[in-house]
Amino acid sequence: MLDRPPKKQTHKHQKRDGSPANVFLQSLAGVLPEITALEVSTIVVEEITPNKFIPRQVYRELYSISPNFLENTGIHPSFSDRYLQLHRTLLLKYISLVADPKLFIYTPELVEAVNESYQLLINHDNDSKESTLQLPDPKDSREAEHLEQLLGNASFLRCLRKLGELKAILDQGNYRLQQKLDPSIEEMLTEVIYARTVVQLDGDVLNSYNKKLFQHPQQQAILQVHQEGVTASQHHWQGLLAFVIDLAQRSFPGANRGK
Amino acid sequence: MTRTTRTTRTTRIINLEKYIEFPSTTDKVEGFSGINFHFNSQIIAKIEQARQRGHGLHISRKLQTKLRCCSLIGLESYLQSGLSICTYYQQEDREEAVIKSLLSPDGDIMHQISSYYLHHHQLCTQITSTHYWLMQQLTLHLAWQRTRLGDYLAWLVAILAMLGLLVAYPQGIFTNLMALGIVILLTWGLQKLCKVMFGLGTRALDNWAIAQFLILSSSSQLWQQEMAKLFLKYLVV
Repeated sequence: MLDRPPKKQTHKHQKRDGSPANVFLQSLAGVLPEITALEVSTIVVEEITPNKFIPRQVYRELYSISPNFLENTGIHPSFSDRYLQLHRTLLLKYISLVADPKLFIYTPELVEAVNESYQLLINHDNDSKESTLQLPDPKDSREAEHLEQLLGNASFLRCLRKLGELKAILDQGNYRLQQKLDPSIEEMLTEVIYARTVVQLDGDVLNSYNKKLFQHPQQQAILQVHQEGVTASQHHWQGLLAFVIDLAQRSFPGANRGK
Repeated sequence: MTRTTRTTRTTRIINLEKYIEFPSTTDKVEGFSGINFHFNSQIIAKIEQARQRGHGLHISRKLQTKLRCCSLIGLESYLQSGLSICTYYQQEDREEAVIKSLLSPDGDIMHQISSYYLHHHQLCTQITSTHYWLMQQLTLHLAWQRTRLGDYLAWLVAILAMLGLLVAYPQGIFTNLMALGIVILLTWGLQKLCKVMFGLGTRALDNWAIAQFLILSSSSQLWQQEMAKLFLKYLVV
């Protein structure tokens, strides 16, 4: 995916990107290649934040995360790695998008930087701010158009939304630690995901539980909620997929008959 | 309302429209909200009873269109950026969020549960089961069977044919009530016949309409998104 494509293709790609068929492919069918497995996580939180997702705001918050920023804003040190991980994940998503020649935001000039940054970022010990390629600065007007394109990409938005939720949970835990509302649960708070089940497309099911779960006084309740959540999510997702695939197949009748 | 209650009894469904809050599809506000359920102990008990009897969720056509709009149209839709469903529980005079699910179409599903309610095991189980059940019920309402394009075309052909007949033989038809009645009956019969005749071609027509819908729904142009909304409102069964 990170191979350098010939520069000549750029214009052609951008032209093709504007066609209705390609807009559709990028959106609906764009989800399909991203489906590798169903992943259900159950998280215990002190307070549930309301249903609201403002992409630009979440982006600004995640963009500003850096070791310096965390120190200056007084984020508890036990949360630092998790905050930095959010920024790193978003940056990795960004570099995978700018290197994808099928996308509108594909930037061939950045492909070399992509390879370098990717090598740096796969090592978790490296600081993501040292990467050659950085997320577009929301305050820089020269990068505004590029950022606009990025925020118009569904795959990026999905990633941003998930990271935004995780950040809200971290913020809450950090606030409680700062306020020393309940110092005894310090370790509990820093572990975000209690139970996770991955159902792979070939039918393999992988359960992973946080070891803190087994010290939690309500472990049975959490396990029950998680198990029920997995079953419900499976039904829900199967229904959604069946519907989406049916739409996709019907809108491309040629695909049924083969080429 | 009386009518809905009667239907509820006869067709084994439960109507919870008053307790489900959909994001507005008309006002364009910044940011994407989600679907909220607002429950109290009585509603939870009512839903549990309905589930035990195997009843399904009923939502009106208007809400079904809303659900489909917020799921399928535009960049802020479920199919694009994900959907968040949150259940609020009302106790005495305060309402609190108990469980929130972030559903991403790429298969990542995140359930957040309030630790306060975990301490109340039975209530927690009741609320979360209801939340999960509704999540699944909404998926059933999302999918559609077919479009009405064939039906509309059959009516159009029938009405045009009858208009042609009226123009050709206008004498006496408008003044004679019986003749007018026969014309209306003939139109109805003709559209039925057309539907049967179109039967084979309707699927191809449906597929074509779906392809148009998908192009419109994923467009960033507002007018195209409005067209997609009209499609969901009038063309889908």
